[in-house]
Amino acid sequence: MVEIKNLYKKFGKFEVLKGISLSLTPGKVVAILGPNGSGKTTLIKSILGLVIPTSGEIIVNGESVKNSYTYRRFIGYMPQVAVFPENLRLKELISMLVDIRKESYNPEIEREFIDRFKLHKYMDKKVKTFSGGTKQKVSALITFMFDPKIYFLDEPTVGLDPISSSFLKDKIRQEVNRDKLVVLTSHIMGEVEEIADEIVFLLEGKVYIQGSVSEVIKQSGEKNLERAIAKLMEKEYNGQTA
Amino acid sequence: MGKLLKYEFYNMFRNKWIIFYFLFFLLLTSTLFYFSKEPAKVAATLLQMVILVIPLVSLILGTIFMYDSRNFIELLLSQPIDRRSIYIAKYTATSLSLGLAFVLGVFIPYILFLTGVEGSKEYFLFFSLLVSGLFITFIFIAFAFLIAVIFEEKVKGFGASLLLWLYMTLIYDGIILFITIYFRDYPLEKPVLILSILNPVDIARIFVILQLDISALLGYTGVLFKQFFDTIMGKVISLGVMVVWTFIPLMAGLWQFRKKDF
Repeated sequence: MVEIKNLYKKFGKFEVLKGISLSLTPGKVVAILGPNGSGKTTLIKSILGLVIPTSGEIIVNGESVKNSYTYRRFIGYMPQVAVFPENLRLKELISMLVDIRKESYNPEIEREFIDRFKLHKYMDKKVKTFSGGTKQKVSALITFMFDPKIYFLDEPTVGLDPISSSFLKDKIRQEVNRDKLVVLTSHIMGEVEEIADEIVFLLEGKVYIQGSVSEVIKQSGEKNLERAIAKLMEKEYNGQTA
Repeated sequence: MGKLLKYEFYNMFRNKWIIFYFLFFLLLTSTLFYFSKEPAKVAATLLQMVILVIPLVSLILGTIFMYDSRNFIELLLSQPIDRRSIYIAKYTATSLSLGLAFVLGVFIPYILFLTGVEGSKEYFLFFSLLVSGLFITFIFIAFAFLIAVIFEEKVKGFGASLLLWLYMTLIYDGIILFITIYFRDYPLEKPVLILSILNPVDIARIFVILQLDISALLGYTGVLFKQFFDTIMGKVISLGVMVVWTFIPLMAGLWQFRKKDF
């Protein structure tokens, strides 16, 4: 469903992605992990077309991403820090997005998210005045309400209270059972272990390890994912000092 | 694209800067007409505004709007929308709103005071003034957007805007003046004519001044200018140059925008 071949990205002299090749198939939660600055967000933004790759190829649903925008109708994206237009009320933001995007918009999902996130009382308020957690809820709402085939969630549960965070995780599992693809990043390993099927570990702009959660744990010889990933990262830190 | 335009216009009309800008021209033109009953004199004063204020306001507001809508742009970019549509919709809404504020701000008092005017009503003069003002708006909004796309930081963007304004409105004329004095022994009419065409502010100024009687004040080059611009050919060329001056920064900005990382 998402095919990445030899992806490179340079910001000025700074090379963030150094030849990433990946193949992601539907019906799975794929967690992209790695230390800070390893290129997780850049990778996701490249697939979305927010960042233009230096070289390499990205194919989403059989369509090359380069100079195209139509493929984004399959995609829902929750950015790391939710940003919204100034001066728009929540109601206006939602109706504007529905008006612009339309395709596969599902009012049922919208209602469910508004109910569960208790967003009713915010409908007539300006989005820029919301707290971080509420903005995150809005971001999840506008991502899920278009019922996309592929989700890119950049640290989706950050700032959410336990009730909302559990609801979102349930939703993610549900979507995957409907044969969707969910790609997420997170720094909470317990969460990754709970919902992810597959792990892609990025190190210095390259895919260091790709495999199922149990495989990664087994390979490292540690007892849980957190320790397994910590061990992988330690290697890098030691590598830098040596 | 149509929907994007709708939301961009909706945004612009809720913007208080546009209202201020409209009121500024409304008040200014009304005051000028109140003190002088001659449309030609009013147009001469307004011309100075067109040349100095419109480029400055277009550059500053253009960069502010572009930087402020970065969040909106990022949100749109993650939807199935073409980058080109986002940029063109934003440019169209911004330049038309500012242009309309200027045109209405001048046109409403002009129409209202016209009944009290004795003698020439100067229709063509005001028409030229409005056309020049509109083009100056289009040109400098395009430059403002280009600058805002190139410079990631707001402060640098404003700096670049101010420098461009200084260059186009003051420094460039200084250079022309320097050339005319330094090379005064040579026939300069044609080079100066060409140099003037290379600056959008100058061409807008000449376009209006030649409708005024005071164009004789332009001196010996003025004769050539008058000969050139008074023909249909001259008017078409100067309009054409203003169109080209709109498209150069607009296309450069669009090109930059399409390869920008967010």
